[in-house]
Amino acid sequence: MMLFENLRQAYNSLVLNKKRTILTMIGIIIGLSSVLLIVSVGDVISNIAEKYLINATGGNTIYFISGIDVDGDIDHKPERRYPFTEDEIYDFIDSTNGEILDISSNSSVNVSGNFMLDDKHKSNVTMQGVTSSYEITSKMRLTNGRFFNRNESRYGKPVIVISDIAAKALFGSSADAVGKVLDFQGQVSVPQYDPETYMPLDDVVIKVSGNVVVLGVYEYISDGKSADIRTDDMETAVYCPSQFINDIADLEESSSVNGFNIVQFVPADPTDTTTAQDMIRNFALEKYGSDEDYRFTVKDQMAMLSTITGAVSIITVAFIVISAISLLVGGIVLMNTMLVTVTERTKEIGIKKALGARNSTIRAQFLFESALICLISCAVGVFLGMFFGMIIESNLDRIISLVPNEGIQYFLLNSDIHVTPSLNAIIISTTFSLAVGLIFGLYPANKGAKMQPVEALRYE
Amino acid sequence: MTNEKKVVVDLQGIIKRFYIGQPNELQILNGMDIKVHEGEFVAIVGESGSGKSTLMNIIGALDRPTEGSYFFNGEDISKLSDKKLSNIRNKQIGFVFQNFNLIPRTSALKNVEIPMMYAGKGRKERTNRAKELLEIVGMAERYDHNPNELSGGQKQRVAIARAMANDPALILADEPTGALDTKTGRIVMDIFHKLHKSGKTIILITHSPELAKETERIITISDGSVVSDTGTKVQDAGGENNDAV
Ligand SMILES: Nc1ncnc2c1ncn2[C@@H]1O[C@H](COP(=O)(O)OP(=O)(O)OP(=O)(O)O)[C@@H](O)[C@H]1O
Ligand SMILES: [Mg+2]
Repeated sequence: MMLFENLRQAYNSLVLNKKRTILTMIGIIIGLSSVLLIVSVGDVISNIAEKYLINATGGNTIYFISGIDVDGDIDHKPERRYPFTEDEIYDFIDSTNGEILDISSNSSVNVSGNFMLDDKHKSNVTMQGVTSSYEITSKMRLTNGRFFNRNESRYGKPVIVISDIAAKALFGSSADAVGKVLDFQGQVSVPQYDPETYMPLDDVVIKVSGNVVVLGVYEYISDGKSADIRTDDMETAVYCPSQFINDIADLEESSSVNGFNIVQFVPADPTDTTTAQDMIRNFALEKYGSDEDYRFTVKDQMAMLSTITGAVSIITVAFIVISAISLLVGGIVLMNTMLVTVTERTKEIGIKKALGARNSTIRAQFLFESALICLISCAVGVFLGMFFGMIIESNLDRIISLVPNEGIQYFLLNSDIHVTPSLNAIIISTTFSLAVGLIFGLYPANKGAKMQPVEALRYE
Repeated sequence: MTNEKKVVVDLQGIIKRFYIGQPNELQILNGMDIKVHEGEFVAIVGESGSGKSTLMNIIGALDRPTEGSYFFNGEDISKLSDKKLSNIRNKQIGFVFQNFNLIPRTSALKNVEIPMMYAGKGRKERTNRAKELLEIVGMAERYDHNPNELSGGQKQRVAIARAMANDPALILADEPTGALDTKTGRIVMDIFHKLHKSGKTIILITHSPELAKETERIITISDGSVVSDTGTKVQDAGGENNDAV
């Protein structure tokens, strides 16, 4: 009954003082938008962190860091290193009864070049070094033959797994490919760094050639991103043991293997890694447990992830507090506006009281007005948030191309990023703004409500 | 016509001071005793600054006396809460001001509806009654005009319709013709006569001796005291009993 009347009067008042209303709203919109932005950014970061960790290795791997406890005393600096040899690690993996599949494959060294069966059948390829666990972590499906096993991986046997597309181009069919020998010629680009300044130098290009045996054929699945059409002559990846590339290119062992202070294990069951983790702990303690100074870390990626997202959410909360201050400023602007409004309408308050308005009637009227200002601001703020989110999202490719790291660029382009504010963000920021509106509107509204009728009527 | 009418307004020893407790404390009303009976048409006259409006505000429950008792329809309202006073102002008293005091940017119809809205009347009832009242004061065609589109006389007629909205027992008019020319003032005055004939109790402050003479009773005030009262033509229903109903 009074609701409509309150709405009518609040609307009239807002329209009457357009400029003042808009300035007040801008204050609140800025506050609301900053809360909205911060909550959204926090969401996006946690999302990306999650996707990045999972995507980078394809599953839940276990980090083993020998010599350092990342959650422990940071001042603890052991005198010596606590390395493990390659043999020790592989023997350990062999002893886990399949709980641990292999160490993780993150070799960054590829061979690019030609494979040929004879003069007529050749194929341009990139040969990528991985470990035996890649079959599982990349979720690839083999149509013929098999993936190389842990031992082939460990000793860098000259074996490869190719795609069904490459198999068809080279051998006519997938079934014909298995067991065949291929010649290849190509080159390996090895990044170089100045040993003193660590500045990148020109890559060293090493020419390589040799024979490899096709062990298996996997089914090529488009990643669905690029609008590619499956064609017979398209270039698809060929996988071989990383160690094989290290051997033919005469490289030092790759970094993950090199130090053996840090090892990334691939567990058989990515959802429950407790058994595997216990095994790794025992393995570590067996060798160095008698040394009092020995510390180590065993943590799976999920745990790492929650450490990261935990840090992100703490930062987000800190930023929300900071942006809430701008909302507070918006609230003070609103309070000021409402105080002016109430003073301007003193006479009107007097008239209304003479006609029988109660204090609560007057209070409700002004509270309604400040709530309306806030609601409109919220709507505009959320709309702007979505609008700018949409603009950013549709120009995401261009924005990502500004990122100075190609790897991160590639990753970002392939992770489905949403910049528009989440429902969560909208609810949080809207609740904040409405609360600010009511809290800061209350004082002016009370001031109006408590006016003495005669004094209000005498107001010039 | 019976001479026994109930007392609507009964002021006993009303004192009003301003700036209480301060060095410039000011006593504006010096203990007034006034009784107004139901159906009376009373004019209050006096020089400017004599305290007429101050008195009227107390009668209208807009202000509380510093001392003394005010019985309105037999109930002592001088100490009532804000909420109860607003109820009395809403339902029992209708105000007409010199400067009209219509609510700006609000149509004539809405202005008349406002007291009924505060009284909790339904939308339909409100609108019908407001149209009826505007018809009575001759403003039926202008019901959707805002105050800034009306002449002074028209505004005052809307204000009178608004004062009548909840059918109050008492109508208070503080110089209702003060801002109007003689001709328009005449129209307004005629409406008051009409209301009086229909049985309303009316108290009118005026500076015009002619208009005062048209009423039944003239109370003259000077320096916060009643100096003359042409006297009431009716008797109290319950003799001197203040609680008479
Ligand atoms: N709120 C107040 N504070 C201080 N003084 C006041 C207040 N209200 C009224 N007065 C004083 O009381 C006196 C009487 O004022 P009031 O308005 O009652 O006079 P009035 O008889 O209605 O005069 P007029 O005919 O000019 O309207 C004046 O001197 C005025 O200054
Ligand atoms: Mg006066």
